[in-house]
Formats: sequence, C-alpha cells, structure tokens
Amino acid sequence: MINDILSIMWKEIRELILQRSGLRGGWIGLLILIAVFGVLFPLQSGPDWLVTPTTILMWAWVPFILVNSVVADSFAGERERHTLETLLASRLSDQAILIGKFVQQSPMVGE
Amino acid sequence: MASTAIKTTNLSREFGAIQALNMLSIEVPAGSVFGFLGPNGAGKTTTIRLLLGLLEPSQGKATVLGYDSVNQADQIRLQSGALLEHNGLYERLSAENNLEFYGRVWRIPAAERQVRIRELLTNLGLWERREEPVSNWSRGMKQKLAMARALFHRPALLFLDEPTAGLDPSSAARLRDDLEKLVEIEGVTVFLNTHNLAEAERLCQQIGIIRNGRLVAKGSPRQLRAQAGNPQMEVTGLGFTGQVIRALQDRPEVVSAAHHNHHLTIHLRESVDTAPLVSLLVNLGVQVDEVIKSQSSLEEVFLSLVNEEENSGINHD
Repeated sequence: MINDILSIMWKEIRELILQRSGLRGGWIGLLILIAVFGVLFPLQSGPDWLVTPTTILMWAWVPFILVNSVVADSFAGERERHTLETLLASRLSDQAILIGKFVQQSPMVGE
Repeated sequence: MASTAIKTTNLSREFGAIQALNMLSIEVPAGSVFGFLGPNGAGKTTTIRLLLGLLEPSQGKATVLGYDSVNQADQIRLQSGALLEHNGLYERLSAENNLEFYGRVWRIPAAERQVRIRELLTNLGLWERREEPVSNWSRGMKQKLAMARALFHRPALLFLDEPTAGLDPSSAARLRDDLEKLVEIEGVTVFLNTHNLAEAERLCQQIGIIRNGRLVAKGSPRQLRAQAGNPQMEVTGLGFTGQVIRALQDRPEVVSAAHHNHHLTIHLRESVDTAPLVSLLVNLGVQVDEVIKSQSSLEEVFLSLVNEEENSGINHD
C-alpha cells in the first residue's frame, strides 16, 4: 500500500512540475489566501483574530477544505483526460490512489 | 493458470433503459486470441469493463483467470494488462515517465524497469523520442506507447480495445506480429475488440460477433465463414445469356446464378467440383477468361450477420 501511494505521489509531483500554469495558479491562490486570512481579517478583527476559538477552528478547517477541493479537481482532471480508467484498471486500489493524491497535495496546500 | 481464461454466463449490463450487454455467454481458452467483433455501440467496451471488474453486471457472472469479476477484481487486474478505448497516457509526461510510473505501479524493480523501458521503446521505434512530452506525439505513436504500457509487466491476460486504430499499416502489421509472438512464446491470452476484420481473421482462434449487446455468432473464422455462406464461383468472360443462367439454375449443385456485365456469380450448394460447371459453360458457348472459386470472407459473414440481426430487430418492432 505504501509503495502504491508513493507511486501515485511520484506521478502527481512530475505532472505538477510540468504544469507551469498549475504552479502559477497555486502561487496566486496562496497569495489570495494570505491576503484574506493574514492581512484583511486581522486588520478588521484586531487582536481577537488570534485568540478567539472560532478563528482557531476556522484556520484548522481551511487546509482540509483546500486539500479536498484540489484532490477532487485532480480526479476530475484524470477523468477528463481519460487517464482515470486506465489507472483503475491497474493493480492500484482506489484507496491507494486517493491517499496518494491526498498526501501529495497536503504539503502543497500547506505551503 | 486455469485452462479457461475467461468464462461468462448470461453476463448482462443495463444503463438505465439501455441494455448494453444481453446474456453474453462465452469461453476463452488460456493462451488463445479471442476476437470480439461488432459495430460501434454493440457492447464490446462494456464487456471489457465488466471483465476487468470496472463495472458490475446487472445479471450473470464472469470468471477471469479463475477469479470472480465482482469479488476478486483486484486479482484479475493484478494479472492483466489493458489498452482501453482511450490510450490513458499522461500527456504532460514523457514516454519514459509514463512507463516509469506504470513500472512503479506494477512494482517492477528499478534496474529491471530501465531495461524493460528501453526494450519496449526500442522495439516500437520510440526510443529516440522518449524524453518528449507525449502531447507532442502523433496518435499512432501514442497508441504504440499505450500498447507498451499494457505489455510492460508481462501480463497473463491482455485486454485490447481497438489496438491498431490510428496506426500506419506497417506499425499495425508489426504490432500484430508482436502479438502473435507474445501468444506463442509467453502463452498470453488476448481479448481483442476490433473493427478490423482482416486483423481478426489473422490473429484470432475464436471470434464472437456482437450486435446490440447480443452475441449473434461465435466460432473460429473458418467455422463462421462456413456457417454464413456457401462457396461461390466467379466467372469472367463473354456470352452469359439467359439460356446459360437457366441451364446453371437447373443444376442440383447450384443455389443461384446471376451475371453483371462480364461477370457471372454462381452460389454453390456445397464444396463441389467446379470442372463440370465450367464444361457446361463452354458447351453453351461462353468464352471463359477466368474462374475463381471462393469462400465467403469474414467481412461478408460479419455484414450478413449484423444486417440479419438489424432486419430481425426491425421485424420485431
């Protein structure tokens, strides 16, 4: 299972490196995120932004939601490019494909 | 390995109101090439998806390499290679990376992976362009690479959905040669969906003809030819008068005779000696240039079966 996850991660990283627009989009998304959560909201809320439980809860959910959306996009992309069926017809389990994509995307979003 | 590689019993699949596959029962012996022929939308690709466990049947059962296609699909996929309807290549990656990825998926050790990639790409004439993104390649080159990917881990069973579509004639011929060799040397079983009747005739020991999800004929190419049509005799010459046609039709071994310009077609009842018919024609004053005795081609068989099925469908309606 670990090897299968690593194989998927290997492929995802290779594709991401070669997808220049994807990298650019990722950086833009990250900048927007920093601008909204790191500048706009703190300016509006003041010190409360860092100490209230609601804020902490929200911060904890943001990466999870982002990773989910990126992984869903990745599956949709595989389906559109007709690569998903071949991948599913290989020896990889559905779980290995899902976890591989999830694990690979997590540090990217965390960045 | 089981002596029967694939066995389906009343395998059926519906998509809403559409019956994509209807009570398919076939047996494919291990180490043989089974050709699945049918027009577009006949249910060929659905059959491959069912056999690989990518779809569940609405009814019936399939056993592949001794494993149940619903409960043991992972075991089937472990021992199978597939070239599906779409080539499934990662277009941004190079050919080398595409194969490297699937080599990792199949857990082939790194050193062996490199040797295998070189061997396959060299054999298919793609080695020089191995570092280019696949998106720059022609359709035929992509198809060859997809074929290499399907063969990469030396599977016991290969599912091929139109493998020579988009290939130039020499590449297609080479691919057929490779397939023949693979079956002969490594005992690989091949389930081949194709529209190419000449390809099916050359490669397949058994053929199934499918139409509207129903298997309409099954057998070796020879059996199918014999089943669908009696031998016929083509005569080229001059003097095909009404009297000649009537004289031929009176002969017990002749089913029908018809002429068009300088060609006479005689449908024979069975495999008979044609010399007396030629003598009769000569005695009746026909100037015979050429006589060819032939069996129905697989294409004629296919068209007659498909049209027959279409007409019976119309009659049912």
